[in-house]
Amino acid sequence: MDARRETASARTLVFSVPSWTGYLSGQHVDVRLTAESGYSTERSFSVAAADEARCFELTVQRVPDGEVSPYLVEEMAIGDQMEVRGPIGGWFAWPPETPDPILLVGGGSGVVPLMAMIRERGHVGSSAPFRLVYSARSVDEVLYRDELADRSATDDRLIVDQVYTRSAPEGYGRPPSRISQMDLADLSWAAGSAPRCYVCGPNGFVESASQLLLALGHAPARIRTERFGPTGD
Amino acid sequence: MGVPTRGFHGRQADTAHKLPPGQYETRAFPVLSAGPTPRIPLDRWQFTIATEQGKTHSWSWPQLLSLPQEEVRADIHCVTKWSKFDTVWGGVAVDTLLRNIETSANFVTARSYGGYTTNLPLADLRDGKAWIVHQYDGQPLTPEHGGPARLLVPHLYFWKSAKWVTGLTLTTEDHPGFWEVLGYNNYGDPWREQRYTGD
Amino acid sequence: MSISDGTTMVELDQSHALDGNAAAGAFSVALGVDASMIDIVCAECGYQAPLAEERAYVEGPGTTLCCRRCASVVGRVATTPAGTWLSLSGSQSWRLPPSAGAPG
Repeated sequence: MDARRETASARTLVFSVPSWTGYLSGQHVDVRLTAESGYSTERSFSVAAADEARCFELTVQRVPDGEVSPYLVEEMAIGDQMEVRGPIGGWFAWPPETPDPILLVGGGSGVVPLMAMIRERGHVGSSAPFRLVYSARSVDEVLYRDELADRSATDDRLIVDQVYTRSAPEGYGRPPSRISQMDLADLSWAAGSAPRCYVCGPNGFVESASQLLLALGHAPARIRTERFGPTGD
Repeated sequence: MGVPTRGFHGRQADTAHKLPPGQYETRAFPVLSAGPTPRIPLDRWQFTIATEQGKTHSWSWPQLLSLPQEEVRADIHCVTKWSKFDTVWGGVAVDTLLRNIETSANFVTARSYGGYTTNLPLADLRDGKAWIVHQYDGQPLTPEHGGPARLLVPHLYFWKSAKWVTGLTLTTEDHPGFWEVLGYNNYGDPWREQRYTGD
Repeated sequence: MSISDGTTMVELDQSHALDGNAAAGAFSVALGVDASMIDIVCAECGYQAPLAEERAYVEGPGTTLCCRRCASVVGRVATTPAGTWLSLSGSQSWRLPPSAGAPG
């Protein structure tokens, strides 16, 4: 239906569907791509937004040597179709009626379902306190940079912090490095406030970030994770 | 067949090779994460053949390596539809391991570290059709691809080539294995496209 | 984590697994409800967790769900032309929440 380039290697695709029910932000869809030859393969993608009736958006990061992501990021054109199942997964989802503080920790394209939650929060007019800690390799790879800046500038209950792992902009307060316990301690609420934590990204990132949250005293029951896999495609 | 998506090709390669029905050639060697990866230290690795009489024959890692080794060049066909041609493995023929083992069993359950099983007729492991391999492409077989050692039975779909193999149990009756009880074909001949139960 | 394989303690590496949430779609097809919040008790070690928190392996002939704690198989699902096959072997129980609801 529509497509927007997000970065040099990522694109948001907007799809219309015949039916779309029960959506909660954080959920994903299972897509199946079939070639003319009959070969088909399936992948899961987190929904990035679903504000309009019967429309949803996916933000896809191109994985080097990937089978599906290069097609979705570079080739798929307006009018093209694919099979979709979902939305699925009530577990890794933000219940919009909850007033609990929400801590979102995303690595790379792991920010996609977290962005869906931030967008849904705006859409329903929730004032639940939200903090996003977003780890990306460099400025060029940050998704939704302008939108995140706009949303957090106009809402003092939404705080967005960027952590860079490979290269940071000149003058940036924090030198590039992997996310650490100190980062999370500085950039989120203390465990005593019992925020719900949602951690999403590649397996290695999710593994370390959740261990750090546990070390900071967050209860395991308050942490929900979504691992994308070792590489993502 | 699913609704085709314009312009999508996947990892298919154009091929001069003859493919079994429904298969597509890949040049990659995907690690299909189908279960946890066991990590077995070589000093505790053991391979055991158990006969229908209950007799067992075991080999340690050094013992496996001291047996006659073969290089195997094979095409492999995965039930998830990719085929890879001219793969090169190194290991011991199952014929070598079965030498001097008396049995009147007709079936085998291949068992893996971690609990996976798959079943085959014993005849399909004899006469140069199967190996216990510990090398791929001249290098030690990595855990992701089934190392230290896996069963290799290239004439059947690749789920029969049990990763992390720890033994063969010879039986008089056929015992469907991990995927065979869940809708996958008991035999699995790619050339007759025997993917599912009843094919 | 390590499990006993009869005579040998075997280390099982789950670092390539996805969260069970990734398998929710496949199990939802089999059960006709959103499977992600089904409470599973492992028959091997007794650990209890929602399906979405177990470890999922989606690249095999079918989808395998393993206990988050001990890595034993707690469920399998495979979609074939004959239908969708479901095994709960390895689980002591599965509990669907009262208003599990229909999948999206």
